[in-house]
Amino acid sequence: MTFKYMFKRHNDSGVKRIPHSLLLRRSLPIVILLLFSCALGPLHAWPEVSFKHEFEDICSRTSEAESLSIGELNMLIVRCDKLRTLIEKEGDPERTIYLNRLRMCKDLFVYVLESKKAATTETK
Amino acid sequence: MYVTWPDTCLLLFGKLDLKTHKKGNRIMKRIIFFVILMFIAAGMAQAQTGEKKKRPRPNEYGRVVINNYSKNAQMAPVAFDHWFHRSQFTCRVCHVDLAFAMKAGATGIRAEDNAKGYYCGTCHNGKKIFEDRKVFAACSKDFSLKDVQRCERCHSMGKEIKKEHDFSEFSSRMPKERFGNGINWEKAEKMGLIKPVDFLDGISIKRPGLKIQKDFDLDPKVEGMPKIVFSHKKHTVWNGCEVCHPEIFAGIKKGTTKYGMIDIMQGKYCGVCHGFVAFPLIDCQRCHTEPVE
Repeated sequence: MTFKYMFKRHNDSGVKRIPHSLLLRRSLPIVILLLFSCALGPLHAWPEVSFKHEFEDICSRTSEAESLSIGELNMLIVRCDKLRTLIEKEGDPERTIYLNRLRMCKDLFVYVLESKKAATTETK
Repeated sequence: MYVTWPDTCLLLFGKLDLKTHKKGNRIMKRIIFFVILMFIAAGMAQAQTGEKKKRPRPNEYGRVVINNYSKNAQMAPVAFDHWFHRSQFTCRVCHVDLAFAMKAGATGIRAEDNAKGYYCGTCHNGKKIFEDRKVFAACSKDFSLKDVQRCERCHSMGKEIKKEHDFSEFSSRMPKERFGNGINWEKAEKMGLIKPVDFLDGISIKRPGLKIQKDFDLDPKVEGMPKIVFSHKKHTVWNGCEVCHPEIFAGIKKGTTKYGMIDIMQGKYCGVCHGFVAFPLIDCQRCHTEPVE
């Protein structure tokens, strides 16, 4: 009603009347742009959040490394290598600290994997 | 009858017969005299350059001197006493979660890193509450005169600084041990006198409980020495897995990493901790525990 009244008044004063459908169509790109900017806003915070989350997820498995299968260990090692490239983009000292911590986790997984492989070849 | 240098040289190169030559005895005496003289000189030279290691006092045992950047900042080097921190935290918290290297000075801690909340600054930030009091903040890069006293709490090497935690008072409550800090840390934990923290909020990772590792025997290299009973359980509780494997012990199977006491005394294998922070190597009975059959 307010819109109608507004447009009527505009129309009365000689301004071209914009139909509702056209108004919606014109506002759609603005709405999309707004939504997109909302999504892009915290983009700079994403890598940090995701790398720490991924780091915690990988390194929390060190205490149970012994009970993991060869496939699981291989998967964790691959994830370590992927995460490494992500951490390398960080600034110091965070980069040094987390690369060191990740190296310890990966080395342990490799160590357990090798011991498991050695054990399986021995039993064969 | 004079003994000349050419005669001595001839004798040394086998050109002169000792039995037939008249000067033989004299030449032989001269050679013996010079050999003895050389031994004495070598011994004296050794005595001048060799360093006799002084056994540290109980309160100084485990002290790490950190001097990466202190000198340039015109500060005294940091004298980090392990005894207090090890009474509060497990080895894993600092050497895995806070990423402190196992070798003194290898971490390369900077004041700005501490100020950002890393390394010492994780706890030493002036905000963290530990045992009902604020943990003092680490020294910042730009310190003023009023900060000097706080800075000197760590940058204390070679200075007479009164420490907040008194070692003699602390150790008087602990079970005694002959060497090292004079404290039996293992017993102290068993008795509940110390409860080392294994988790720091926002730093440590939540891990599922570690599977209890079985202790095992190790055969000594020297015949007649008591067998070594390695407490795998104790080591994993304090260190986790990644402190030792594979960096210190790379061998996959028990017995594959070959090492002896010389390696350990050089700071390798068990010697990474034992001899510096954990009980020293002169405390043989702590490892060689099993009676000889």
